[in-house]
Amino acid sequence: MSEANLNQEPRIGIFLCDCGTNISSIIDVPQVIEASKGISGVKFVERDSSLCSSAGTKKIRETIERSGVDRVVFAGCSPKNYGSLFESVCQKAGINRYLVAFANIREQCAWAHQDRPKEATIKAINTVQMAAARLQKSEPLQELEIEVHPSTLIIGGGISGMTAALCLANQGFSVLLVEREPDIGGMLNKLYKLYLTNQEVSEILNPVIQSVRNHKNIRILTSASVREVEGYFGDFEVTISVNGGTEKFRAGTIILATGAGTFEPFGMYGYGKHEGVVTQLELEQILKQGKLKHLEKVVMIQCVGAREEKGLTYCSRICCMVAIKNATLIKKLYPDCEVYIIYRDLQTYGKENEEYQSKARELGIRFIEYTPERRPEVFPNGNGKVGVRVYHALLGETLTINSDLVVLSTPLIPNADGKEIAKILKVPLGPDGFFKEAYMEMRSTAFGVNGIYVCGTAQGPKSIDESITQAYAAAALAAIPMQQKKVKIPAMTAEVNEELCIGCQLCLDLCPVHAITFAEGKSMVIEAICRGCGTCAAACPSKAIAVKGFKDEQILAEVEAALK
Amino acid sequence: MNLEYSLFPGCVSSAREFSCEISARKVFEVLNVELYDVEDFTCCMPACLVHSFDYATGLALTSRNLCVADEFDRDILTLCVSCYGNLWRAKKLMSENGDLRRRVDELLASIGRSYQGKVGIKHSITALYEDIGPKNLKNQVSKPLRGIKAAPFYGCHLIRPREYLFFDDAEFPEKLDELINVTGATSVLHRERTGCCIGCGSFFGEVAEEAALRLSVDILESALEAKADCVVVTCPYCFLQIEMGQLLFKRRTGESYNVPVLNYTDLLGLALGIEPRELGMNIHKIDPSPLLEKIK
Amino acid sequence: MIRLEKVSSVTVIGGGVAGIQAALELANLGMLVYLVEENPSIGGRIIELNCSSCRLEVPMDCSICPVIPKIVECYHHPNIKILTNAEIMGISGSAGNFQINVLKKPRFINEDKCTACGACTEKCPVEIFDAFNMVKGRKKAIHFPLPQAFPQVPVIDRENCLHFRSGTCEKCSEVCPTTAINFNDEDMIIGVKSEAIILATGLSLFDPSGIREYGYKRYKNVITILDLEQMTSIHGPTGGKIVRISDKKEPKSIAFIQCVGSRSRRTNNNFCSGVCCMYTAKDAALVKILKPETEVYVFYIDLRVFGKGYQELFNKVRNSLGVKYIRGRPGGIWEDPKTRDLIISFENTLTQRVEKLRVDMVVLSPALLPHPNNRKLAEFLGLELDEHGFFKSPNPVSQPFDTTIKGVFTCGYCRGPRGISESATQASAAAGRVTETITLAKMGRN
Repeated sequence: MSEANLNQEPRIGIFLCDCGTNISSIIDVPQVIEASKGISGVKFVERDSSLCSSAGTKKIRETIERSGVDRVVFAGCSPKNYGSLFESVCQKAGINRYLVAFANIREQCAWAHQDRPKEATIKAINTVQMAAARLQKSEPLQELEIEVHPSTLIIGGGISGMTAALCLANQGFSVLLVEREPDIGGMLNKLYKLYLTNQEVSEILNPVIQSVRNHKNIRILTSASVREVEGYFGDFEVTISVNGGTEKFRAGTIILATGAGTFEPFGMYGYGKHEGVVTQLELEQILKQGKLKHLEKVVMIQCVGAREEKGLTYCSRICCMVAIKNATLIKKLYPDCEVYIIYRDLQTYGKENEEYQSKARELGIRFIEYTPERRPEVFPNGNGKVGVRVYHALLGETLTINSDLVVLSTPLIPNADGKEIAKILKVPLGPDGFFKEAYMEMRSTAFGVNGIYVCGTAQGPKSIDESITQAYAAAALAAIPMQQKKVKIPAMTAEVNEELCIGCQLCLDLCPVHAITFAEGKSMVIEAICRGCGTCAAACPSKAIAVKGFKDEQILAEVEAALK
Repeated sequence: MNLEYSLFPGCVSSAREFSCEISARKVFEVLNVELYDVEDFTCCMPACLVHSFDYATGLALTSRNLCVADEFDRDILTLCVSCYGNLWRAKKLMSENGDLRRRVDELLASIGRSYQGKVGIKHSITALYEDIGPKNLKNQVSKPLRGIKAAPFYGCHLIRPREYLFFDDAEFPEKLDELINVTGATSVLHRERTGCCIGCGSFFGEVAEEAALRLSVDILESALEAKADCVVVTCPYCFLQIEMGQLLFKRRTGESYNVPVLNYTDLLGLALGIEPRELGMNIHKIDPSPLLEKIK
Repeated sequence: MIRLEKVSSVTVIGGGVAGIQAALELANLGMLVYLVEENPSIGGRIIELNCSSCRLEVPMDCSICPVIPKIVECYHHPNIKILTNAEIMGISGSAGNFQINVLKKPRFINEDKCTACGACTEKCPVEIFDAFNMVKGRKKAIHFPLPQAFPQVPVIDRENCLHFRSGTCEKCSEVCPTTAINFNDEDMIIGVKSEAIILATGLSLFDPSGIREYGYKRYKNVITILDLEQMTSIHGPTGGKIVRISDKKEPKSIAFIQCVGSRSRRTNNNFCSGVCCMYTAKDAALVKILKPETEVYVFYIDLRVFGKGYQELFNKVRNSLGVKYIRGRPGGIWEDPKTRDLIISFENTLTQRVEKLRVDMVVLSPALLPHPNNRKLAEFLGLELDEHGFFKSPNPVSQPFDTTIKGVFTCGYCRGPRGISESATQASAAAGRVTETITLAKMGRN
């Protein structure tokens, strides 16, 4: 084991992976090796073709132990790939992971400059020098271990919130479910029947509500809203306003399941002016209450207010299926009623949706395609009714339908509370106003911030099964740290040098996550909250605050090496 | 080879394009295949005719032919792909139980017939390919037609619709090409090989002259692009259309395509050493002599 | 034949994106996981795709990059045991107590000793050339499955390897510096006892040569979108350039055709694969960015832009980049024998006109089908499949990733068409559900 000693000269080891021919076919590897050997402090430059293989990692460990280096540079492919693997191998060999640096000579040199091998080689040499230079000024850092309280705050008591609550509660965690409305159930409370199965909402919703109400690990607060969230991942201090007063809750993790609202298409297609124009949600209420009269012609118009050039640019994913469902329900009630769905592109993606659409066509529901350049028009048809004139894009003809009822399919919109909650939790909203997930591909229910997760329509329009899926996923992600009871947070957090701090509190004001407090005339960083963004360090007039692992000396050393 | 069939010549080859029947009869004779005439056969009744007034009646008229064929222990052999497709359509529909079948059964009963669906339905091409086989045919070829490039024209109902016709692939069939190559000639790939001639139902000039002319010209251009010496068809309708198309074009523009149109049996017959006259090639409207010269 | 007995909490069948994600979440939740993958490497379909997002100035998630770290993590996680080159031979038992018999086929190369030096592939005398998939180029009888494959260990194509065919060659073994090659490697049967099973068998591609009028495999310049993905990969035979296979020239015009074999009663795949509209848009954009003067056309039926950011990306592809979208499924493609150009016949359904379009290259987006292995697994488990081969759930609304058998869950494409994001989410969800189920079982409830 070799430990870093700040009083000793740094002893650097360089592992250079040529990635088979991936790197070596473009970069002159021997040249890079020669140049790297000449860097001060470098004890060895070890070449390999596949550091990431089992044999490779074994070699890394043995070479480190044998050579007694205290810091390591990996020159090879992007650290995104094997960064954490190599760091953990080094750790096992006794090297602090903050004394491990990466020089990306594959994606950033070989691949980016395939047609200029000479320049690519020089850049590779530079990259390694920069990494080594930085390392020489690096210090070993210890990661803080925080305890994760085995309790979750779930904001929103709709199907997503409830599903997540049950999943976590069943695993033994305490759940507080906070719901803004007087009742839990969310959007589903307003719906009648569900597509794919045509079953009544209550069949699905009621058992879930019952389970949630009866679960000993779940506490429900209705007519309640979250006021403030302080603390940090593992130990959030939540203030909730309820019953005219406030309550506090200690949560290890938080799940956002605040749902979405619906767009009210005032002024579009006669909505708000004529009785005979309603939204799909309003139609659901009418159907639910059994108040739909026998109609002769019903026209549904899709993409009302959605997929626009400006404003709501997105597709709301579920409206085509909702329309088909309601059309199916009307046809089952009144088989001789003519039902038309005027659509732009039919979003009946996947297998079950396409089947559902086929069945609808077999029932005689007619589908008419329109293009955004020639939208349907409505005209008053007597008695509050509204007729529709539409250019059928596939027929090339204009049709006039003397409808009794026009139903507008409108998109889901971000919850009105969204901005407020985003501020309280310090999580981002996307350009469409829904919560912005960390990484759509592999982490669609997580945020960049640890400990807070999102699911359901709060993250974007989706169907019930998709919401349920996301809820389970969010619960799984939340369960992981709570199950492990402790998490290590990255050590690259800000640190205050009290000698230099003049107490101007500029850093406090600037910190985007409120990780800095003030006590006895000096700033103090709450490590667990700090995300290491460096804003404070950049602003501090006396250079009293710096991010560990990103000190000025380190960065300047790198810059100097780059300019050599 | 003791193959025998009930010959179903069809309207066009009986009444307008005799050369198809002459050619087929001669070739099968030389191949020792017995073709029996059945007096009671009537028009196959394509779906565009009586069916458009009353489907069951139309279907009954088609099925009646199948009932007649059932009296003999032989498969039907058609010369026309329209007959081929129609009879198969009837066979498929009559194999399903339901309202339609019931009504057709009633109509057939009223004329003392009952549908059994025993015999198979062949076309001269399918019989040559499936029952005799390309290898056997090749062995009997005595005058291979070397150097001749033939553009096959499959004919719609030989291969479509795929729901009840399984002789060859509906989109990219290859068996007629194989049969052409067996004669020593080379089958060329051309873009209209699976095209439509509008033959069945249009009977050239009577219903859709403009469309028929355009399609014929397309087929001819396609064959010429592929440098073909002739177009080889499987059906008297196609034969009619592609010949008449050339005549109409000449009448309109003064120009001649002069692309000989051959029934497949013409090509095979020539390769088997049969004289052109015996194949009825002397009554072709587009003179095949340039082709025959090339063969010599 | 060696036989081993193992115990795990959960067995995940399928090592693609979904399987890997599920395994990781479960492992991090403290479960012991066996991950069974039939191919020699894990990563599934996604590692066959190119890395194009970096080249597109579009805020879009990459295909491979997010998965590689997961693959690596999976491989080194103490709670996950990966069995590659492995086939499920039988499953018995029930929830809480499944017995899964896995046949691990020999790789003949010791994964621990191999350093991926490539000496064996250099020395191997047998070259295999896949005539149809000319995009993929040549490979030896011993070769690395894919550039991004994990583990980076070669495989031997037994059918072509001289040693296995006639016992006449051991060159690879002779040159291997770590003696990692062992021709005497045997089959191994591993019996795994598991409390729960997650199915993540993924998808297979419909072979578009069945749609004969499009001429795939008959016309050299008609390829599938997967072929294009591999061609644009910098590891590919052209180093990332798009070229026509017939003359290696860069195409001046490319037409993409969507829904090939899907949304079609003819092929019985009357469902939508869910992802093609967007990945076709992505690849069409890539073509335009690599060479802006290329004429790019996309033939579609409905634009499925239902996901987050999809409509916006699509707008960019169509409006800013100038990809021409034509609504209409082409009726047929003909090849000009001289130039090998392709002439597409189609009806533009928005103008009701029948037209022909001549292009240099055609790229087909084939239907994505459930994996054929699903049938076997369904039989072993007594599970229900739908008529296409997807696993069925008891209620598609309230139980989207359960199956008709307790203790068995699904995630990803095997349940129905879905993209990477939804598959990964479902994988995490299935992990959550399994943990919930196992915890409840432990507490004695159900």
